[in-house]
Amino acid sequence: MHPQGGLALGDFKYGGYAGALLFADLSKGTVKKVPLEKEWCTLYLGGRGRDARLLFEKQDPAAGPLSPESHICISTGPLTGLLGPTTGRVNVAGRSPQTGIYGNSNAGTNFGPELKYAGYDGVVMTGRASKPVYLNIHDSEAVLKDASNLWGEGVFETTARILEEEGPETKVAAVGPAAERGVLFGSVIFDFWDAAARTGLGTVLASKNLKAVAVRGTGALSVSDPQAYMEAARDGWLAVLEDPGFRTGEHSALGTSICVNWGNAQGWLPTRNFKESYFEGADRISGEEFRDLFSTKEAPIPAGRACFSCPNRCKRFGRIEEGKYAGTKGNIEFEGVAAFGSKCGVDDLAAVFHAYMLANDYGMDCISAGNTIAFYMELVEKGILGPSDLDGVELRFGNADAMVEMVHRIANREGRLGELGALGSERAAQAIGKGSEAYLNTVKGLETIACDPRASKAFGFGYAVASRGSDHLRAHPVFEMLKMNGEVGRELFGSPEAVDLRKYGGKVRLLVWHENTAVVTDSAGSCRFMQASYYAEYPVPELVNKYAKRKKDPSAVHSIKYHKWLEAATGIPTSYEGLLELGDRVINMERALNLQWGLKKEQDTLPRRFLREAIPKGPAKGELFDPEKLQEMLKEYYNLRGWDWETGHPLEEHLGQLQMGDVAARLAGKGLLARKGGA
Amino acid sequence: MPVCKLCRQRIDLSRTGVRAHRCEQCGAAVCAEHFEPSRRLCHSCAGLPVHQKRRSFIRKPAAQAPPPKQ
Repeated sequence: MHPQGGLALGDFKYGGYAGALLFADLSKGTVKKVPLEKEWCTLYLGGRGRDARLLFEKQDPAAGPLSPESHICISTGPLTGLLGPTTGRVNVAGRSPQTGIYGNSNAGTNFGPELKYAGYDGVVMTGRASKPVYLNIHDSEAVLKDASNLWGEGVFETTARILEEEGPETKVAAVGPAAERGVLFGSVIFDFWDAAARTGLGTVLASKNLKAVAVRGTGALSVSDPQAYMEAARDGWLAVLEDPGFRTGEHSALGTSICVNWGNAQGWLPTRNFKESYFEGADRISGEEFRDLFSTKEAPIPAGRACFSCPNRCKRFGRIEEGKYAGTKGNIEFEGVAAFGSKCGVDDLAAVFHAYMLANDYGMDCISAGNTIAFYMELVEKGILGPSDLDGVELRFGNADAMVEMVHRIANREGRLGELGALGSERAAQAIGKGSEAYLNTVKGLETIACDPRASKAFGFGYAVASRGSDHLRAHPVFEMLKMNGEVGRELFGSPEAVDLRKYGGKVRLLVWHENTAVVTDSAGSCRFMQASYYAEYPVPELVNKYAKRKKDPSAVHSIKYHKWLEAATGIPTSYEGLLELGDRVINMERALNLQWGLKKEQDTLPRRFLREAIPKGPAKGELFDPEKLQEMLKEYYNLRGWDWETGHPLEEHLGQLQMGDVAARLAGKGLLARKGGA
Repeated sequence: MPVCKLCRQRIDLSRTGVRAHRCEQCGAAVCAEHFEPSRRLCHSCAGLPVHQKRRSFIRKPAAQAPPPKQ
């Protein structure tokens, strides 16, 4: 009998889950199916949460990220593959070779659902194969196959060849030649275009000689309470469909590149390596421009692609038909556009699109690649890099050809700057010296995404404390950008200032709520846009209606109630407060991992530029992130997270409340646990 | 969704007017672009040049690049 949810696996009774993990030891060439730990389902849910717990359990803290002993997980949550809005997410986790701390990335694909249908909630890989292999999963059969002929090939070619071999319905996660060559921010690309790119986990896979994971599943999943499930899922669909932002259709029409013009208008679009936050060429690299120039009409919905079970279809697909980049095609997102566009001062959308697709094909993080190139451009401008360093590339802001050339060089580790760039901008700065560190925008070794923290305080504070380094998706606090009613901010986060992106009031509570709920979506297997962007998640629609000028009957307000949805799916009793606690538990788990891997409290900060240099022009002119405010916010944040202010270590009492006594015991043994009163 | 044997593109049957063509010689499904309707053959069997869409733009280091054509 094919696994139906968890029912085929002994006493595993939770719905939603497939009920098993697949462990692949690449050194031994073995693959085995292991039942899911029930306790982890209740405490860590799945996906991101379970992965953090599993890494804490399985991985020797002394093991280097690229050593054979390191582990890497590709995981789903209990909602992945079920009927309901945006249930197509998949999580990748391991120790990051780029930052040395927790590496974690998430993608919207069809891979996760397929994995569940094959009967697995996740795949955990360790060891190192003696020659290149790919893991092929077809329902209960999982085998390692020779991938020698794929080694060195780009992600697109690799994926296409595996589809030829295994059939067109197969879903593929592949790494590219950049990861094979040791570029520290190698990505994992799902089904050609969907990237789990941050923190370099593709490089971890490549270090194991694993070129790809292919999966085909033909099984089914069951839920615990089908009737309650349908009601919760219906509520979720309606909440999205009724959301004012969704109803405009702009996000669907333009994809995430809608943020180019929006961010520019609000003054947070990073420009020329964060020197500025307003780009005069934004119009020329915008979502509107992409639609007009490159959108294709081949997809059922013109140029729109959706992840599994998503009403939003925000992936914008395009092709360049003529010019020197003719033939470039693929799916474009805001972060890549900003990384190769405004951050490099390039307003040639064809070049930006081409560089972005090159980064995907080479299999490397477009954000880290674009930021590193922008960083180089500023070093040239400041005279820190001279003609003798550049190997003939005319690196300056706005030079599209140089930007594209540097993508090739970094991916292939060509020349000195290519070699250093492959290590990320922070390590490159250490090697270059001469004061170049002043122009970095990294936190904990990870390059900052496309939102200037000086212009958007919750995002900025989020970068300082995010568990994987400078990043928005640990929280995604778009709330402050949406011009919501101040009373909603007061009721949810204690201050009406929470709705003002330039102010600091309520931002710590806002961030903590967003971090906790982001953990829930990442661990459940649904998309961040349901939790933040559309704010379809309980209790925001209810509060928005409460303070609206034109009120609806409260019974007509719909929201995504994850506690009901998850309870109906899994059968595990769940409450709203319980899920917020689960979020706190996972953040503490990630903190414990990071401390084990050497994170220091001093790394919870922002780069020098954001604390000392005011934005020189544009709508956010004069803004910076006040260093004193940052310290105050950190204190409040540590207090809410249950961390000791002096050391940044979790408090034993707090971990006890979160049912993490075993984690506390291990941290205590390493001197990484704090106690109230410093005892 | 069928995939064209020659260009590996999916043939999107949900669009009006789009259909998969079957080559009467080799039996493979191909898209309209790679089908010779007068002979009911795919471009490969019909001996016509197969226009391959370029899949990749990455630059391979010299050691990995294919040998130049003679």
